[in-house]
Amino acid sequence: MTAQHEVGRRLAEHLRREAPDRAPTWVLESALEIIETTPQRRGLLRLPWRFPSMNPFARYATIAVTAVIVLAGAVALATGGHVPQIGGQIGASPTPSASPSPTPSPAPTASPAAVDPTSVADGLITAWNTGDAANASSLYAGLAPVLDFAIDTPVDGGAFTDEASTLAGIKTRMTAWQAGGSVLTRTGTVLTQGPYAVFPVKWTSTTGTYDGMELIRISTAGLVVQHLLFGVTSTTGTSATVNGTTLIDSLLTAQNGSDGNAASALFAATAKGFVFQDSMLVNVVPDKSHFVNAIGNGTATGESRTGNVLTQGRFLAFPFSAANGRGFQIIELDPTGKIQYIWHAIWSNLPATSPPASGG
Amino acid sequence: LHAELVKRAQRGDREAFAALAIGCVDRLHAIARLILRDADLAQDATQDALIQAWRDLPTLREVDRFDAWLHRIIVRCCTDVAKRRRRWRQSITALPVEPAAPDRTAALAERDQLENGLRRLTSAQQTILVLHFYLDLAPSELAEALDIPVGTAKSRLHYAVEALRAALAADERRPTGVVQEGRSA
Repeated sequence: MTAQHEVGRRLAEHLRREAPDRAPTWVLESALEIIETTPQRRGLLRLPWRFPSMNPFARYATIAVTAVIVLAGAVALATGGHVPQIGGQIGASPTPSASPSPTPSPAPTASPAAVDPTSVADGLITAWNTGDAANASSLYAGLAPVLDFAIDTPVDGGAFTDEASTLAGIKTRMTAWQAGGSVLTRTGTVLTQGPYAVFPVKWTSTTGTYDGMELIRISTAGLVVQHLLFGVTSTTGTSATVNGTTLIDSLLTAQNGSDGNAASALFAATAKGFVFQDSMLVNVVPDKSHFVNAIGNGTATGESRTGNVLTQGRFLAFPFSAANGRGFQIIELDPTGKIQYIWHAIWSNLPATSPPASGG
Repeated sequence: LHAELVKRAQRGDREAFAALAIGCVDRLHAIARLILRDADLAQDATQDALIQAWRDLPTLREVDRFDAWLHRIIVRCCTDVAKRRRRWRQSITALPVEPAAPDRTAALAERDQLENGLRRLTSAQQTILVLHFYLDLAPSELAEALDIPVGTAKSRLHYAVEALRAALAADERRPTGVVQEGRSA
């Protein structure tokens, strides 16, 4: 017992030393922002449940009532929503209905559990890895059309925020960690990977109308906890051409760049014309490793891009993996398909080094 | 004042809830950090807990039990986050812990030893140790926070301490200067 007490004393001291004094300010701010648009749950029926004051009779009564409700629900489901009448038919006879076919009904043609990585489920959402994608409708439902926030945490020292562009046809470029008062329009396909989802988006703010991508991170509770917008205002249209493929608001699918379709051409372009450099990665938000950003050209190391490509105007979103995690790579092109900017979003703060081989 | 804020927040007063959240966010974050042992995941769990607390606050029947109710929520959020972590990180290999250098101070060695010991426990054991030894929750309060019977809470706490003690003892028996498994000399 003395040994246990000693362990307890050491542990208590250790935990007090290790406990952080303060939570990062964004945790509270972001939670309160979400709460602004989150309704409270107000149950219609407030039954006691596992309270100390609950006597055995109440507990058994609650269980019995719940069982009856569940049973009735199961019966209703089994009968196609028609609850059988109890005690025979009373009053008017039921309307005649079509007699059931004597032949057995055909088996379902598709199983929703089997998700092809290249399939577009629900017409809106593409699952990259099985199980990553939530229901697209719920993703859209979680996003307010008007975001009431101010641009903060300037990306890379503010160089990317409302930056005047020297590129022909592009007036301004915006990267917003959060955007204030902008009205966003989200349509089309959602590409998901892990806790991230990318939406093609257009939005209007006081500085203009932008085309681009919206990257969101979804918390474990299914709530949108972070936004990142990428976009440009343009005077010469919103499309770009890569290797003869005009990109405009489309979803291109590919598997390992070998199926010969338009996405493969993009991947090939990525290999030939786009060059990346891991050393360009910088933290967008100090002390947060979820989003890293890259700009410029260099030599790719340890990066791979497979799967689906989401395009919107001059933006491409690739699911990608690198030595330090998985995530999205969002690329902005000029009208001729030349790469201008690259953003990465990953969710690992592990250093970009390989672990040592086991066994020495 | 605290109870009044809870009542107002239950009726949908967001300012009242913000005042409550300001008062508890650091504590929730510390609990999550100690349970999950990961800064990013702890932030996610804290945020989730605040949002869940707002959503479910009208269902809280006894306003004076707000803190205990919050503890239950943060524990549940930590469990959820930990489950998600296991799924997401299947393709990411964690780097091994660096071996202890021989010139470390006693304080650092004590820290490493306890951290190593805690890592060998189950998440349920880690959670109950944090709640008891950091928050000073009594067995009845542990039972409420973990949604388990009091007897189970006492038993789990006992075995968690015993498991930690055994892990520390095993660590102390290990000769110093040995390179960790999987590392070349």
